[in-house]
Amino acid sequence: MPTGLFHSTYQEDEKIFRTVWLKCWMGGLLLFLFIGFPFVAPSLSGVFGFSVQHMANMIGIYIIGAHGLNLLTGFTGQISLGHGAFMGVGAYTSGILFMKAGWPFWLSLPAAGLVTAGVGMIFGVPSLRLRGLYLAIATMAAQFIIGYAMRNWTSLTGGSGGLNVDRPSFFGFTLDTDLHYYYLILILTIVATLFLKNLLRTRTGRAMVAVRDRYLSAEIMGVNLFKYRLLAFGISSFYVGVAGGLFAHYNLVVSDEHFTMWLSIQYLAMVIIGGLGHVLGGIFGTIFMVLLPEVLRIPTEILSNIYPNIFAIFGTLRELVFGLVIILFLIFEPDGLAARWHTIRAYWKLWPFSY
Amino acid sequence: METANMAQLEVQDLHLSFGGLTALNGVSLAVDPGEIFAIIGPNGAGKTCILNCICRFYYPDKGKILFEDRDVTQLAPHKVAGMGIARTFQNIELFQGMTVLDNIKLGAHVHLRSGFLSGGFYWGKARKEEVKLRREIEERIIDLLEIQAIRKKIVGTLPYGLQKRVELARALAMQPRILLLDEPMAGMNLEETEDMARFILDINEERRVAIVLIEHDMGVVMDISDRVFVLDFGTKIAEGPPEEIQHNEHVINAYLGGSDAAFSKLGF
Repeated sequence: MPTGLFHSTYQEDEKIFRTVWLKCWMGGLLLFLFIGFPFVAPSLSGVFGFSVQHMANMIGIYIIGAHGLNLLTGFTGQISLGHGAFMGVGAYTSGILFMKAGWPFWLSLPAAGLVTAGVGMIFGVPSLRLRGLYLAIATMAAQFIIGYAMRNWTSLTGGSGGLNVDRPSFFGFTLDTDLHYYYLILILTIVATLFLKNLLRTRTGRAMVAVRDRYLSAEIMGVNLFKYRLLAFGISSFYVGVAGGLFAHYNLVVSDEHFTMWLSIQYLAMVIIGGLGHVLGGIFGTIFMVLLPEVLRIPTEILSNIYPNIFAIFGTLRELVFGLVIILFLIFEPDGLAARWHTIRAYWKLWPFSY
Repeated sequence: METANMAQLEVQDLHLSFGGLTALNGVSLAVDPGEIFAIIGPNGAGKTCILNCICRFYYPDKGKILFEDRDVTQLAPHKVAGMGIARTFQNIELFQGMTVLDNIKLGAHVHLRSGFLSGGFYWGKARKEEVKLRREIEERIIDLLEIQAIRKKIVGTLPYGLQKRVELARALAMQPRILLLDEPMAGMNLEETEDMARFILDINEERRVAIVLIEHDMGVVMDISDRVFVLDFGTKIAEGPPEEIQHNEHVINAYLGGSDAAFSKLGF
């Protein structure tokens, strides 16, 4: 059992996964995600009564988006209520470039990220002057403007009828099943997570966290506030744009109803419940927010078998419990699931001699 | 090159007012390379205002600030850091949620070159830069200021005295040619004060960094500074070596109340 960390070079001490154990755990997790999970998913679906594979794909997509919002809100301290719409920009961009302009998928997806980054940066310009709730309201404008464009720019977006997107194929290989998508999404999610983690331990990420913690002294240290605030909007929107692109190609139909204010708030809930300012926060929060409604459906369905008119009485029982769970979470774990995870880890590290 | 002006930092006829309140009324001072220059004065005399003007937090109504013969009066605040001017704050202005190490690394922000792409992928350039930076910080700053034990701690959890020291470390990481210290000993006990004075002298000697020191602890000011500048109501009332200031009538009247207690305060 190790009694401490003894790194002999600075390079070793600067690594993300610093111990052999951590590397083993991560290796095990990757092995499970790539090989184990696809095998157990079908049988899990049978147990839970919903497609676990589909859920995993949705979680992956939303994790990428949540990472984006976490970078902006959790690490740079700028709240955004426009990320639902930004995801829509990504979805429509990829969909339109793929369907109408005939771009290949591997080009239309990064293009979706770039276009969304541009749109996000435009709506991020007020961040030079506005902070906190004021910025939230300013970004909410993005939600309304983009939502309006998605509904009414019919020639481009197909209006309220939506836009049909074909299955992507690249280099002669078509993504036919949920499992194919799963591998694509998994790889992109891992890349997105590592990029975020790396960004935060180098110059740019540090400057962003500094802007969050105390922007005036960051400026004295030579951090160009406007540049980093805008850059945070750009990278954040890139993430959520890629998530939107993936969503478009996975869902196969895009309409403005997918990207409403509700989605923006859901994203915010994901990062807050998961833990603002923790890379793990985006992951935990997304898993929690996507799975909870599905898991809550199970007891409701069982109950409705016993008392057939329970739906008549408690039509919104699921939503009610959903809201309740979120409130309880915020009361008892205001720092998010990631903080709880760190306490648990610290406890087990020393167990059973925790003194 | 014409060298009529040898000062490293020169403030010329600085005026600053907030509405009707005059904070600085024609302050001029010159800091020579490598000296410890103390600014003292009663509360509200405008000491911190001078630093804030130098760092471009405040925009002076009138006057000029020259650093190494370059006019910095019109620069954007974040550009001043790149010129080699670093400062600490009266009320600690650290990044509370970051570790000590990250705080210090941020101080080196202007000396790093890697962008967000190489950072995000941790490519060769960013990786090399980070490791090199870590080595420099460990060997040149953490060892000097004796903060090895707390390098991975979150700053917000540290006691006040240590936070002050981390703030000094962060300013050092900027590799400044002039260091502006705003009350570095405020709220410290005797031992911490002595440590801090030792660090300031070490920095001044080893790196030939000029230091502008605002401090109320007269014992320290008189002990370590080369020259003392006394400010009252936004105007200079005296300037000179510590021995001279200790005997200056104006200073004793304005700052110390003219009583016998003044003499004990000045270290007699």
